[in-house]
Amino acid sequence: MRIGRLLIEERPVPPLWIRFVIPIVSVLLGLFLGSFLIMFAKVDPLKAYYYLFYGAWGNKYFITETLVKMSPLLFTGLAVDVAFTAKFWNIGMEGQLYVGALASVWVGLTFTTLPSWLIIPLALVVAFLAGATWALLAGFLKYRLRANEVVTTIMMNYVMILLVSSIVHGPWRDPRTFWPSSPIVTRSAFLPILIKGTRFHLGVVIALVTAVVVYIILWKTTWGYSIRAVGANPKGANYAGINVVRTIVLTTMISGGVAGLAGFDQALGIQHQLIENISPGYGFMGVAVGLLSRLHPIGTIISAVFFASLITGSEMMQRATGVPVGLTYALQGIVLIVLLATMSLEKYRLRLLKGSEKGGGIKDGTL
Amino acid sequence: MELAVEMKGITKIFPGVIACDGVDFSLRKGEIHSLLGENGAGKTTLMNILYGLYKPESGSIFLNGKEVYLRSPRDAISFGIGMVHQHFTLVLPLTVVENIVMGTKYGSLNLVAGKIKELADRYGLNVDPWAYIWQLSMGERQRVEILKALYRDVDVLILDEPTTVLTFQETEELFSVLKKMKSEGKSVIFISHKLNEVMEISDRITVLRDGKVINTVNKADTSQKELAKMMVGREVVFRLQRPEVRIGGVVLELKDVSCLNDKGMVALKGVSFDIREGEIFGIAGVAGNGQSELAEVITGLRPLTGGSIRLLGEDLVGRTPREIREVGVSHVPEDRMDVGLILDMTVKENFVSDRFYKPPVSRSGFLNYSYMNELAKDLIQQYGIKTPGVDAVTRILSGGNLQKIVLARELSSNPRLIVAAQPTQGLDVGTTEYIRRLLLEEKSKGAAILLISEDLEEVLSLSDRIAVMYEGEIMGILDYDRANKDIELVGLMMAGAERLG
Repeated sequence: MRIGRLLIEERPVPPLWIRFVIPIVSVLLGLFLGSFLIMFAKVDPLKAYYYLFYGAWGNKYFITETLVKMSPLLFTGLAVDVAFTAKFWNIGMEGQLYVGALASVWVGLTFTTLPSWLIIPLALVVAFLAGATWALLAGFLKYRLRANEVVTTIMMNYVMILLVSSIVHGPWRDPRTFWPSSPIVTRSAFLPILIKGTRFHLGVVIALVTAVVVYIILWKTTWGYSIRAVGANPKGANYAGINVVRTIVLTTMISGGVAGLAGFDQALGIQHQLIENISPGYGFMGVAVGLLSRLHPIGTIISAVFFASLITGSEMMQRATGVPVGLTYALQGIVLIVLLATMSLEKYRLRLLKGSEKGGGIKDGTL
Repeated sequence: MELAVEMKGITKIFPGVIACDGVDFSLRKGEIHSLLGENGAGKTTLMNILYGLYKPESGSIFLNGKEVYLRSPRDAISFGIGMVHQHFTLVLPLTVVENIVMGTKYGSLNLVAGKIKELADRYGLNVDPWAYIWQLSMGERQRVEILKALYRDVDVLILDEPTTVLTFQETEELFSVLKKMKSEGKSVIFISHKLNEVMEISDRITVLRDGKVINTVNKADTSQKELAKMMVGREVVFRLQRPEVRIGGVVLELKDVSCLNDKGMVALKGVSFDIREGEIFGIAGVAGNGQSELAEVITGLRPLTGGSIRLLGEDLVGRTPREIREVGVSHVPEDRMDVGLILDMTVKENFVSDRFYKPPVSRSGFLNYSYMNELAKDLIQQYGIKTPGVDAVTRILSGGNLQKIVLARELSSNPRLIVAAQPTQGLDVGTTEYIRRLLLEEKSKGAAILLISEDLEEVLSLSDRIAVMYEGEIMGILDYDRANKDIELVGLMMAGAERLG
């Protein structure tokens, strides 16, 4: 494409530095654009951002709260890393989170005699399998009925959210409470609090360990090799002897399972029961978290911390400056849009045309 | 006779290849003029220049005696030149009318539909103006493309390999349309490599080879045989010494193999042959006559609709690509960019794409990176691959080095059978010779090699036996001496004009 003498041309080789620079630039640019929104609220953006930062990292309590919020985002972000690496566009993390929560609460209500060191791993495994199975259904629909996974996974979110809702209104309803919810799970199923006086629970550590495990799977194992090969070039993978369908099945299961762990984290780490709206959209935010880190599991930790900081910090920002919490959702959106827009810069560059390269005209005759 | 088009001294250079080399071409008013030549002879490039898609490095174009400078197809159309590409440029979810008016100023679509109907009736291009393109057969889509040009009131129509997508019946219909256009004083340029069609439809024929015009002849003054000779006959360049190898037992055996292509049309019809240890079996033919599908059925990438394939006595039918590789089959695919390599992975990862799941690359499910590094370094050195390093993303390498990576991987697994499809296509002379030497080395080691190539010289110079394919069938199998002595016969077989008993 050419605008005047400015030519937009493809980069022959996208340099490595740009992969790191682009997410950072898009975060900064997103915050800059967001500052105009803050100015609409008649607040000094620097002051708002100061409280945003303070509310996330200002003291021990804020820090642990940020990390507690990071944990579900990290799980769903990792689920995105796995699925998107294989170019399986799983947008169903929210539903997979809900089914994971449902499964872990079921374990917590059923195996009440088990000690903590048994019931917690059991709940973890069951939540993983529940998420994996739910995601696998979308994989099945894709390969048997050629249903687009973006559509099916989004729709399946609502199926699962409404299923959980009907369960807490109906069969699992705790009659002693006003709000529809299940009974509290057995005490041994509570994820232990690791720092006294905060909500910093075991789930945060499990999330960080999962990030390392996902990194190892994707980059150090033959499974990961297949997943990356299928994502990068399914035809080439098939030619080399990789079973593309089996690889996608494996991918959906890992992705859905990890998203299911976000439900485990919320159900047994925070709520200790099943409630409606157990997630404020962590599953959807996972897409942003994963994309911002360019699908790298270790980078996803940083990206999850960033989005968690926006969530926790925004409450302080609202209290101190009156900028509404809702603004952070706008900020998230802006950062993501800027990221997606700047990502194309990786493939293209601008070049000024030299005089000799000008376009031609008709030598003889007119048009 | 008055000239509609005159192209003088057209030269077009692409990186590393001269597509057109000082080509002179003229088109009379009211004639059907065929451009004949093998793939890569420069036919399409020359016509893309006339249609304003490419700018030539040098040369001039005259339309109706006036010199013009074509910046884009829009210019070409305004001068009355239309082109129907081999791959249609229609928008599938839109209707015929919408596709035809696209890019023009128009009033009511109903009026346009009326005009299209009128044109369709006049030329016998039967198609419903309100049909959606996706509903139409390939033949009907081609009619839409022709109508698109006629609607723009072209005087010169260029058709690039128009018959490859057509059935015999549709081809006949197309020819009557072209004759009708001719009778109205319009001129047609017909690009083809099928001798019988060229002889049926043309007034004059220009033969291109390696970007140069070999000759322009009147149809009345020539024969299929002469055209075949002009098309393929070439000065024998440097030939590699074929090693004396004892031909052993049968490695690969195909019996009555049939399959479909991606469009669901028959691609292979009852293909039978065998290849022995130490033998190079060449497949000659113009692209699109079933060669790609042949490589795919043998390597398990495409299902058979009939027949059997045996490797060292083992039945390969129904096996997965990985299982077939395990039996000792290597595959150098014709599309190294989209099939042979995973361009977004690193060089060292691409070296193991066929074997990463088993030791020594896999150590109980974990990738052994130190082994991968060693292997990559060895292969890079052994095959002289130019890369910034083993961790470089494969995409940044040049075509020749990409192909060397494929060959290094495929040959380092000590295959019993090597299926090599277009192994040197688009590569420079040095790399081409290097790769041919590699194949001869493998032959010396006793591998059986199926060499599929559009480069006739390559097939003729390397193969012990040569099969010629035309429209999914083997027209005959010749040995080295006979094929090299009677190159015209090979040309006739490639064009479907001759079949051996």
